Amino acid sequence: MSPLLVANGLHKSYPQGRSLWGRARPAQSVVRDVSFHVDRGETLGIVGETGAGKSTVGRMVLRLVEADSGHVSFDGTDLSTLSPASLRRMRQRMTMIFQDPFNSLDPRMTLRAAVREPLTLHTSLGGAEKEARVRELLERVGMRQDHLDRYPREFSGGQLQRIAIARALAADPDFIVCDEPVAALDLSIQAQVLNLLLDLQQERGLSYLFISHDLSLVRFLAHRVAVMSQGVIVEQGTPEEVFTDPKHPYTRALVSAIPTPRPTRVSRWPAGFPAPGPSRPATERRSR
Amino acid sequence: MTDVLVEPEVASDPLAPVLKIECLNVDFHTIDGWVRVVDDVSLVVPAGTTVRLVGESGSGKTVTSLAAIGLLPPDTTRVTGSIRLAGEELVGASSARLSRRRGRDVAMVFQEPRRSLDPVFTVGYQIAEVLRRHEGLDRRAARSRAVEMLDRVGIADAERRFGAYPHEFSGGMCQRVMLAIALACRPRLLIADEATTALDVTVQKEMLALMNDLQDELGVAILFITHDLSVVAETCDWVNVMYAGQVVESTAVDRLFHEPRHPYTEGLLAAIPDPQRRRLQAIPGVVPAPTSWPTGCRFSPRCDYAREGVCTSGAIPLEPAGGAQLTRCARHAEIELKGVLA
Amino acid sequence: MIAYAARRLLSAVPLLFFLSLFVFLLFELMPADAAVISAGENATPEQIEQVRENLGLNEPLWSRYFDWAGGLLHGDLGTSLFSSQSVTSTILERLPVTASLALVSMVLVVLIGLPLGVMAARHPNSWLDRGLSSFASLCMSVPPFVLGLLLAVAFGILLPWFPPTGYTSVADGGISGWLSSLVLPAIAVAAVPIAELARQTRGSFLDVLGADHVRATRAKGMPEGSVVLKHGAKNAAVPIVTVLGLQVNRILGGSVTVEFVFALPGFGALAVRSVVQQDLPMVLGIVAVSAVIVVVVNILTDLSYGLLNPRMRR
Repeated sequence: MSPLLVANGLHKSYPQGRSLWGRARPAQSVVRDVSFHVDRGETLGIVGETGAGKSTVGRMVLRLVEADSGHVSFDGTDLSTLSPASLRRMRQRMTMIFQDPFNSLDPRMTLRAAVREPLTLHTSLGGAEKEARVRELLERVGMRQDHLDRYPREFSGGQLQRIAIARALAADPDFIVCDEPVAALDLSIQAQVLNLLLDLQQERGLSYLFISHDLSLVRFLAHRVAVMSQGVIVEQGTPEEVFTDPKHPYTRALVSAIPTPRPTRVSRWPAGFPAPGPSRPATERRSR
Repeated sequence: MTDVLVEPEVASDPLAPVLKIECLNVDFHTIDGWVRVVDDVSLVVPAGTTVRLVGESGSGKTVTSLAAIGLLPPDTTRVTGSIRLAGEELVGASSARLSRRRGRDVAMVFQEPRRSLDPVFTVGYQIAEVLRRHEGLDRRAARSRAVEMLDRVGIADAERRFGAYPHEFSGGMCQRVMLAIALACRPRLLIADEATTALDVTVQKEMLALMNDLQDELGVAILFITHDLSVVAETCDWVNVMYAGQVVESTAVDRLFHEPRHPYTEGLLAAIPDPQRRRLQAIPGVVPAPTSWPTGCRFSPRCDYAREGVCTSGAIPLEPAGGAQLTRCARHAEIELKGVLA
Repeated sequence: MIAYAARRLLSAVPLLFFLSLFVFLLFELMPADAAVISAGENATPEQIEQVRENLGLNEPLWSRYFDWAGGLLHGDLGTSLFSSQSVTSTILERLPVTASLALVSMVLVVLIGLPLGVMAARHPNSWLDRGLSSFASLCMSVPPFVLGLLLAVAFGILLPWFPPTGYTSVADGGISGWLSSLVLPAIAVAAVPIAELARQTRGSFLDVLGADHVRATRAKGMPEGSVVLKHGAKNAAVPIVTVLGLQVNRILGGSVTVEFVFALPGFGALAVRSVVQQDLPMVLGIVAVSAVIVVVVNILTDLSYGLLNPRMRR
């Protein structure tokens, strides 16, 4: 079976503005000759540091950013040849989850309205069917029925990210670009969201393009990994290959910088030093 | 300065902690009245050691560190308990006295290095400024010491970079400059609030190594606040885990990963992505807001080990759980918790 | 920086010509005839025709415009239709009065507006902050000439502390005489700019004092005065200077009516009179001079950005 998504030779550069005398500065290229594919039901992880161009790649795949050159084809269709209308239909099947859950939802929309919106946009469901689907989706991501009429400000970051996932699932997509979906979340909440993504993949055969700066996260989640540096994919392979036997010097530097849970130095804690005593009523001193 | 209190026991005892916080409470003034955000926190930082304060957002770790450097806004916060910096009590000290301590005896670096440097002054000026303030150096002496510090934190071509502005530096370089500012007057204590969180992994590694080197050289104690368990083990001696305004576990760093003694710590460890497992163990629910802390153990609603009664009534004390390790778990003697390292 | 200033000044030239062309066309559309006005009430049709010939009003519009523009390039703004005096010398005669008024107003704006704004930002939502906010709204809702009239009546006539009308130059009355003739009109002109500057200063300082780098500066142990007045002020300066630059335009605008109220023989009063008299060369001259002032102030404001904020340097 052919891959679900193929990206071929993607290029993107941004103009640098003009100099004092009105001459154009040379354009800064942020993505150079990037090619990869994502199979059905597979997660491709893209790792890289700040400015590596990984987010730009994610946006070019969905044509949220137009590539200067190169092609993206989805399920055999070249996206660059699509008319705006058919692109919109195609977007039903491919969607995106962003890093900042606080900015990706409209603060004036209730939960119900937020999840309903893509249904109205992409499906021809009737009112009652839509309502049932909204409830089903929100229940799937672990939100309660009494949350339906609340606004985004009443939820925590992890809850908002789950709502964003429900929204992304509304049109029943095959492919989701996840751009740092848990970077803004606390560790314990991060695990909830990652588990949800894993479960959904299993249930629905979803494919993910998972973009992250966190190597251990990508290693955990991805079936294949692409390492980006300065706009170029420097290495691609299975997590095993990339993390245990990195070939490219950059990957090697990156992998060796992953913090380990093993103490790295001999403890300097003074022997017999009294640890902080159990809590006891102190002489309460009022400040200022 | 006549108002400097150095207690004799401190001056003579080499083991005396640089920072000793006892029974610290912090309340914030909100529209709903006073709300407690830090509750009964005690911790020590002995000279020359690195202590991590770990917690998720809303755990009170940053508020605790701001209290330790006297940076909480006095009109909207109430601090009770005791914070001793090299023996000197900071709770109740005048703001003028606190400001003379800051930058000289205790310094701080923050999470966002680019936003923490003043964008309209040169980096050199910002280092020289703290030397002129606390050591009374003149312009020239401060300048040459500032260049020295820039060089020491690994900024190449320090003499020329003295006149550079923060926007000309990368995030990692800005954090090095912040470190130069913080350590310029050789403080006894450095508070690092998520100081490497915003940096790329390779830069984070360099930064941690630099802090380790500078600690060896200057003997400065470091209180390192982080939400990221993965960096906890790096160059660290002792860990305090905070949850919902309290320290729930206090332990040597190797024991944290081997033998956690609080279910919350165990939960955090299990949530670290591990390629050997295809599923993570998530802690259910969310961190409670300070206005709705549960009675009894604050972690009990999210805890698999919680029992009605013993965990849900009365305040749970922080008590010894073998050796110097402390835990705030009512059932720590009955339950068996798993670490991530054998 | 000099190249930048020169480029900005050059770019002001086309602006000036478009502006003058606009005024030219505006007067062309007016029903009144400059020759009739200039010749006086009892002129015969032949006399009017003679005046028309003398003033060159029979020439086509374009030719008259380019005549005037050509003169402008030589610093010659033409001759008043009324007083037959040179427009340039009339304006130069009037300018010191307006400059004095603008100077005193500007000093008031800076000395009152800035500290009020800083104090409000230091204690947001305090009684001082709320009081300032109501005061600012009040200032902004009273037009300068109304305030001028009220001040003249209150402190010029009922309490005769200051002269209610007229201008005393430094040569005639010394510094104190000069100043006391300007106090009331300057307050009238400055009220709105004071309120605007205070509002902007408060906003800018509030943003800056909450910034991460200010917390970091406090963590260095810098005394509060240095935190607010050195680090705070330099960071807050760009929007404040922008608003301050705009106040120059506002002060010039306000002086038009206020000079009229206080019978100050300035530039603004001249503008009002010339428009009423339809003295085209005089109005054009005034427009040209005002435009130059505004453009120069704008350039100075822009140049100050580079000094205040290193990121804006090119």
